[in-house]
Amino acid sequence: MIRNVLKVINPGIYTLLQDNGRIGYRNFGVPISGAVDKKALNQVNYLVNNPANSPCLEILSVGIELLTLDDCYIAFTGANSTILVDQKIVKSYETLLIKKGQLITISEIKSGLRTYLGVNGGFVSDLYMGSASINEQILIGNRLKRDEILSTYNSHNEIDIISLKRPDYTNHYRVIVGPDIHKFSSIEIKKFFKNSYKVTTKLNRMGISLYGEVISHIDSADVLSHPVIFGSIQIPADGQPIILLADGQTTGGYAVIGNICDEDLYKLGQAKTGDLITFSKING
Amino acid sequence: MKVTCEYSKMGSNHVFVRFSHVINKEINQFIREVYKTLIIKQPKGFIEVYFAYSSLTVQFDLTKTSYKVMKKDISQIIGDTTISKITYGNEIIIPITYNKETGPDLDYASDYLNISKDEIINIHSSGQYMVYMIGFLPGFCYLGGLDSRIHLPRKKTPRVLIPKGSVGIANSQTGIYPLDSPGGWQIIGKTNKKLYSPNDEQPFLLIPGDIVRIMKT
Repeated sequence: MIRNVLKVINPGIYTLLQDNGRIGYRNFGVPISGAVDKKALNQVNYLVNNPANSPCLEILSVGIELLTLDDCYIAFTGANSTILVDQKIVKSYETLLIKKGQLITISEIKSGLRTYLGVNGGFVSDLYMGSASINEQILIGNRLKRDEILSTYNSHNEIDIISLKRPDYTNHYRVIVGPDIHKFSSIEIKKFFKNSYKVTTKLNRMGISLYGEVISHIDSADVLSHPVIFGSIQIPADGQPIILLADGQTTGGYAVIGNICDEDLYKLGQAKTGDLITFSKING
Repeated sequence: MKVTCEYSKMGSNHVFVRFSHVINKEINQFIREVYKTLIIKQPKGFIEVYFAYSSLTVQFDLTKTSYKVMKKDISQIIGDTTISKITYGNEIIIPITYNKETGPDLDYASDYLNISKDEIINIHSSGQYMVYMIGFLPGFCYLGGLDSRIHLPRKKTPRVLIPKGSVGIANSQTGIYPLDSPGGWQIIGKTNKKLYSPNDEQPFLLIPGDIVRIMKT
């Protein structure tokens, strides 16, 4: 049974339905997409008793206002944000029972960038190439709009109220070097791992541009275009690293110094302008 | 043909295989064969494979296999792959309009190459191109086989917006933008043909191995 549960009073800055992303289309140039912070997505689904891959709202920063149309279980994970229900602060990382007529808002972000909202039953959504993940840039779906009604598949089942601990979001990333490590001298590689890099304002779901100590190439920044992944660290000609995220392109022609290990990728979803990032080298 | 390659770990769960640092038709054909075999054989823990001109990458499930085992599975497939001749996919005809409006870089191209715009248009439209790879954007085809008389460098500063359907040149490659996008290729024309239709059962007009011919409109 489909049930209307939330009405969008204010969509906020940029709110998207996201699941774990698309598999099997990268050979046609389609990025994987999905939540940038997949750990937060999976945790929020756990809290509301959903399969890990159920679509949730990925809410950028503050400003969203949602009116509850029917009682439902929801939860919030991701950014360390101040969430209000009828002007009273509620906890994130905990199952919440919200009653019809209540107003949900995010008023402040203490740290992080993206808050995930999950609802018991999962949000009803269209599938595009096997995934509900929205990617407006490639004409897949739309961001949340004012007056939009969100529905779920669930009935009125009761679920347990549970909580989880917010994971570590320290901006330190373990990197497996390659495949274009031959483009850099050992001095430059050391420099990359020794210094910290600041997240610039060039930041979206495709990538994060960093600013810091310039990393020089032995000859040039260009390589023959090759596959890149979520977590690839490219060094373009200006020597300033770019980290590719969930909506990042599938192939790239800038030298890739290394790729962030899978266990640390989720933290990239919470890195925001001004944050300092450090890297360490692992064998993987 | 004998093919050599190098393996490297790409992040925690991708095996990256590089066959060459240059564009080569035989190597690209070889990679297309390996791609097909991987899709059919689906080694244990296989999730996805995608490729570029001379390299490919395979994503695997860390809970079902390891880098070492997946690398071995891939190297076995590579070892068993032979190609005797280049094979092609479908032949697709793309209508292209070349003029000042659709091709804002035609003037630059004419100056740079020191040949007339008509000549550039004739050379480009009489070519036969093979899709080597798709990347950058959904359905963005990297077409090889561009006549060396009309190779052009990328723009120093990319354009903020290149309209959907624009036909560009970057060095020895030509290609068509499937979506409005920023981009650095020199734009010489435009097509109305849809290369990417996300809501269709088959969203992509072209796939690697296809041959593109041009109908001047």
